[in-house]
Amino acid sequence: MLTYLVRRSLLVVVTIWGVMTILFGLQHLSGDPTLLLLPSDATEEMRRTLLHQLGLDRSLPVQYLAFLGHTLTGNLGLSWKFNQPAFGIVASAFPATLELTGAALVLALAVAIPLGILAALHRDTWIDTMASSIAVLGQSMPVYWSGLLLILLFSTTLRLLPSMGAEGLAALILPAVTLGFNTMARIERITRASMLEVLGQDFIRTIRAKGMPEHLVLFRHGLRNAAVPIVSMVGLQLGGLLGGAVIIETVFAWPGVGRLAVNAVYARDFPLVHAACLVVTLTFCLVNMLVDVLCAGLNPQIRLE
Amino acid sequence: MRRMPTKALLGIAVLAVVVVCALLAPLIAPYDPNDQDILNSLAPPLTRGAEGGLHLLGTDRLGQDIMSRIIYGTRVSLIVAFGAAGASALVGVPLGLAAGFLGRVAESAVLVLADMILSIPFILLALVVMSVLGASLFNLVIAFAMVRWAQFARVAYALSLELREREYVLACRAGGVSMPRTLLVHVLPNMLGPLTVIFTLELAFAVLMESGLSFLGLGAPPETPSWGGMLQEGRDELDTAWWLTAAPGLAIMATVIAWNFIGDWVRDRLDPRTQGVLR
Repeated sequence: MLTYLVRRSLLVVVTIWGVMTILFGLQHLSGDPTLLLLPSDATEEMRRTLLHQLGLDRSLPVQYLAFLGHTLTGNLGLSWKFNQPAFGIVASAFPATLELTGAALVLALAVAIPLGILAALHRDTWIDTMASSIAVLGQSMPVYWSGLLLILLFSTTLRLLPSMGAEGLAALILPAVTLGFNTMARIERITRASMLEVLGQDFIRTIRAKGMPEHLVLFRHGLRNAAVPIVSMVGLQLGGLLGGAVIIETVFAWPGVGRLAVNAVYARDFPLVHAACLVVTLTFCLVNMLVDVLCAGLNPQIRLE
Repeated sequence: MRRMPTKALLGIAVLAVVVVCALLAPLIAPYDPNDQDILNSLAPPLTRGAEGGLHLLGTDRLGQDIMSRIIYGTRVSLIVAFGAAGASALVGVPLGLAAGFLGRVAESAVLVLADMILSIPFILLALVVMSVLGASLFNLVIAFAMVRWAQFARVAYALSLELREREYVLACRAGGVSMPRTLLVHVLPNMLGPLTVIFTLELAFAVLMESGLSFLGLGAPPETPSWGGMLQEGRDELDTAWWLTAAPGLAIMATVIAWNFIGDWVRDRLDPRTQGVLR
């Protein structure tokens, strides 16, 4: 177990190094940032000073090594736009993203698991058809569109819920529902499939024949054995949730890392882009590691090596 | 032969409409998609235009006919989807094969690189790439290929793990058939089924993500009619003109559902043994 954790952690470090290298490469492909940062009538002198201040007048290998060193210490430099430490800006936006994705995930699970179990129990009835229609919608509706439709209905027309900002619980509802819809669809499908497989097995027939109450059959034996694919799916969906948050936060003006990243990309504010990508990638890697450990805990047949 | 399931038929029907619209857009579209009619700005659906023509789905802020823009939007959607999935497959499948057949160094290199790329949310990485390259259809294809090759590489690798132990592949290698020939003539054709499924699902993904990037303003260039770009305009007029938002979203959703239905159908028809790999 310990060796597994050490090896996985090393892999996370390699991943982060790779991601940062890609971002470093992209930054240098994008040309001279001083053209964007300085007024068009700036002198050559001013340009040189700024390049020196940003450390961009050094040779590429030196810049690259310095960049990696700064990544290690979490000091990615000052945001070009806000003139504050980029990492600090991202860190202060991170709780909002965590709140949004967390709420979306909880909502998704709360709907998907009961719906998936119901669909599996009533296979090929109207319940199953309804559940799978909802799943198809969830998988195919673009999040930015379902977000706009919900705003249209609940904010513009019914005036029930706010369409932007992060003031209070009411403001969380629309973005979280929008973001959770797609995840819900995928978890519902895997729950249904996994439950169908487990419920068809011999031991379920045996305990039913022995007269075990149906709720125990379903939850203690059925769901427990069906859990591993579901938990793995939740881990896989995290990437989708974080990616969806990038768009959803922009649609709902939610003050999280996603909206920050989009605005940083528009402004070519590379320190801020780097910090946002670093935080998002690290979150993704760590949660996936946690999910794998959880799966091993749920099913003793899985050996982590 | 078994009858085709309703879902697959529905998917093919929707895509037939999309393809016909893309090919014959100038003939089908009632207006030029970039024809501005400022006097008829933000006209609701079923409004009559200046020359008495009908705006079936209304007009946008510049008075451009939404129906026509939706019809021309099929072009962006199809070109980017096929370009993106095709380019990703062209890069990813050879790398996946290399990982499966060329020894441990190639294996680790490709797999670690694929994991790396797939651990940043696609939309975030694609946004950065697009901001560096600039908004254009060609750059969209490049951005997809740079990231999504990893998906194809993983699947091709998983399939080659199984194929490389098969007798006929072992026989080729023992008989001295060159590696490129073994891979091209004997291994690749036996992967085409599962790869087709991944390709189809990738088309659905590309339609969604292309419109997402266009929605954020870093996909199709602004003057090209694209569904995502139309949604972006619609967002600004959400309070006053719902029709800007409704139509392009429906178009995206219908296309994505169609690709998914076809993908599911192809998957169901395949050898059940490959299902674990595809999931």
